[in-house]
Amino acid sequence: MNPIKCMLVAVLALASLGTTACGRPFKVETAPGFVELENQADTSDYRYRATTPEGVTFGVRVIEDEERGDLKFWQQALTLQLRDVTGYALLDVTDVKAGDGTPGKLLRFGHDEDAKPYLYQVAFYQAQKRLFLVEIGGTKDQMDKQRPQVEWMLKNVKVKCDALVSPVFASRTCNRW
Amino acid sequence: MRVLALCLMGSVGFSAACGGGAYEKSAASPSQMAVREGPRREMRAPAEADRDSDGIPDNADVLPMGQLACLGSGPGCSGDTPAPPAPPPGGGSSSTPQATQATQREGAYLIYTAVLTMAVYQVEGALGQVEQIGRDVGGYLSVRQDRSITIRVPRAKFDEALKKIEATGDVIHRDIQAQDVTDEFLDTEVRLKNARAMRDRLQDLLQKAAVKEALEIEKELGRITQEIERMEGRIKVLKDKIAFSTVTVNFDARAASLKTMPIRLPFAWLPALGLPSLLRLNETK
Repeated sequence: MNPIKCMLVAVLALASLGTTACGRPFKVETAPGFVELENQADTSDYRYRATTPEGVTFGVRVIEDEERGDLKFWQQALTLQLRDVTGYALLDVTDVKAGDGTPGKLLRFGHDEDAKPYLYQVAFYQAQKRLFLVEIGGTKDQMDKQRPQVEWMLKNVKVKCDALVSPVFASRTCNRW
Repeated sequence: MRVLALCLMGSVGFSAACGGGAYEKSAASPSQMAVREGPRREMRAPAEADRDSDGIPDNADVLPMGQLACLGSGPGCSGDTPAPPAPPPGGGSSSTPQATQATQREGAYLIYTAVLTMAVYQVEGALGQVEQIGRDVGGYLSVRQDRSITIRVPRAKFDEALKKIEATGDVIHRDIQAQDVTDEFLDTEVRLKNARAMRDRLQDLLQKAAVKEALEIEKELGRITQEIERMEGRIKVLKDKIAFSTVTVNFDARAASLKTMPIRLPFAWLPALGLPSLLRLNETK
C-alpha cells in the first residue's frame, strides 16, 4: 500500500476514535426491555440512563476527580445519607465486581413512595480517579420482575477500559470501543 | 516500520487532543496513592511532562512534596511509611435492647419507654406487625397513625417485644429510657396512708361533733377525700406505667436525623442520591 494512503487511513481512523473517545468514561450495555434515554448529561446528573416502560430505571453517575476515600468510606457515607437522613431501609450490602473486574459495593435499599414499596440499589466503584455510581430503582414489583435484566446490566458496566490502543487512551474513556 | 511509527505518532497526537487531566497512569501504585494529598491540579500529558528530557517531569511543580520525595527509593518513601491505623468499626445506632436490663434495680419502680425510628419501607405492613407483636406478648395497642404506632407491653416482655419489633425492619434510631419513680411512688403511698388515717379520724370526730363543728369537719373531710382520690389516681397511673412499658415506633427518619447526624458531608452530589432524582426521567434530542 502507498505509504501516504496508509498514513491518511491511519489518521482518519484515529480521528474517528478520538471523537468517540471523548464520550463516557465507562461502558454500559442496555438490556432488552430497556431503552436508553438520550443526552442525559445535558438535563441531569446522569451520564447514562435507561428505563423500562414501567419505570424501572438504570442510571450511571460519574463523580469526577474523586479519588479520596475507599470503598468503606463511601459505603458509610452513602448509608448515612440514604438510611439515616432520608429514611431508606438498608436491606443488604454485597461485594460486587464491575465487568472489568473492578471491585465495588452494592447497597440495596427499600423505601415507600406514596405508600408504595420501592427498591433502590446503588453500586459504586473507584477507577480512573473517579467515583462511579450505578443506580437502579423502581417499584418493588417491577424491580423483582426485571431482576435478571438489571443484574445483567450491572455485571456489564465497565469502569476501566481495555488497553486496546494504548494505556493513554484506556485511561480516558472506553465508551463505544 | 514507517507506517507503524506514523500510527504511533498519530496515537500520541490524538491523546493530547482529547484534553482534560486524564493522562495519568490509570493505576497509581498504592505507595504513591498513600502520600498523594493537598490541592489537586491537572497534570500534563506524559508527552509534555518532560520536555527538556532531564529525567524530572516538568510538571513536578504541581506534585505535592511528599509525592516528589517518593519518586525515588530513599528513606522516607512510602515503603518506610508506617501503615495508618485502621478506622474504628462503622458507626450507626446499634445499641441493643439489653440496655434496659442493666438499668433494672432490685425493688426499684421503673417506667420503661422506647421510641424507635424505623426506615420508611413497607410501612403499612410494619404497622400491622408491630401491633401484632404487642398483642402476642400480652400487650395492647395504644395509638396507631399513618406513620406511627404506640403499643403497651408488659414490663417483663419489654426486651422481647423490642427484639421482635427490631426484626421487622431497619431501625435507624432508638431511644430507650427507664424513668425511676421509686421516690414518687413510695412518697405518694405514705401520704395516701396518712390521708386515709386522717379521714378515718375525721369520720369518728364527725359522729361525736356538734352541728357547728360538724360543718367544719365535713369541709375538711371533703378536702381530704379529694386529696386521697388524687393520690389513688396517681398511684394507679404509676402502677400502670410500671406494669406496662410503652413502645412507640415512628416511620420517619427526618426527626431522628436531626439528633443523630448534625454534620452533613460536603459532597454536593450525595443528597441528590435516591429515587426522586433517578426516576425523574427526561431527555433532549
